[in-house]
Amino acid sequence: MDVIYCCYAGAHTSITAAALHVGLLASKRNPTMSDILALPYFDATLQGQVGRVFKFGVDELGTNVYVASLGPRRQATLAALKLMLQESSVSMQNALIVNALSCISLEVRIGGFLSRRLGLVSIGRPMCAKGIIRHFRCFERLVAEARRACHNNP
Amino acid sequence: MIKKPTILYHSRTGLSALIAGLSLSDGSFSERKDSLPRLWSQLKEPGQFLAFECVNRRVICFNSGTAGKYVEQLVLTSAALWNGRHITSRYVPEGVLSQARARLFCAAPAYTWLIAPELRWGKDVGEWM
Repeated sequence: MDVIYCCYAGAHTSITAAALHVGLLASKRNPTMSDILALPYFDATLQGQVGRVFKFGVDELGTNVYVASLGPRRQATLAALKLMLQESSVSMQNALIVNALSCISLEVRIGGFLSRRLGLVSIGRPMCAKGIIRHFRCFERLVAEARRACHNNP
Repeated sequence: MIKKPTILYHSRTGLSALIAGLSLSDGSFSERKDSLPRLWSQLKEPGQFLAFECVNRRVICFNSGTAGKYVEQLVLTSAALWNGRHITSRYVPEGVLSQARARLFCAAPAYTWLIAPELRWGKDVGEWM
């Protein structure tokens, strides 16, 4: 089974969800700012990398966890992602696409814009981390649902 | 299993992608011209696509809207991840004039002359102006 966490740039919400899924972040315990900032790929997407899909890791059940950045026109890029899964060796029954943007907060939006678009990393990055910590319950619920779907369809 | 080579043409309105795809089909110019309005009506929204088989390859025409560069990146990276090396993508640029003509043609599909030049030049899959 493959789980693909999607968001705008693949830098904040999808990385947090993927990290929680593979166990880099512990659930049932709020992470600290340094836990979030230490995540691989966190707030690291460059402007030219929007639209990419990459493998983040594997969970304890052998589920491959991917991160996809869909950019600003999700209708087209999401359809392209589904089309690529269909045309490649992965069947849609074995892939789960999860919208990590459902857990985004205003802080992460503003912080992401400051850090990734304007290059104000020292202001934007901690702001994103704070926003994620504040909405961590949402990420836990999202990942728990994805894990449940994986258990039901091993 | 060896998969058929697949070409994914995508463009802003889907029309030039469809023209590029049709240029690989075996039909004559008039057959392609006649089928174009019917096929393009299935490609109106970004994210919609059409796939058809040619002799030795599979062709996909995709409406990428304004997300052309993101779709290109997504196809490239996901093909590398999921054993999709048989898939190549090609963005077919559309100029402002061609988009205006495409919109006119969309409103009045009977006037096929609006897009006839592109259909004729489709074999080259060059810049669609």
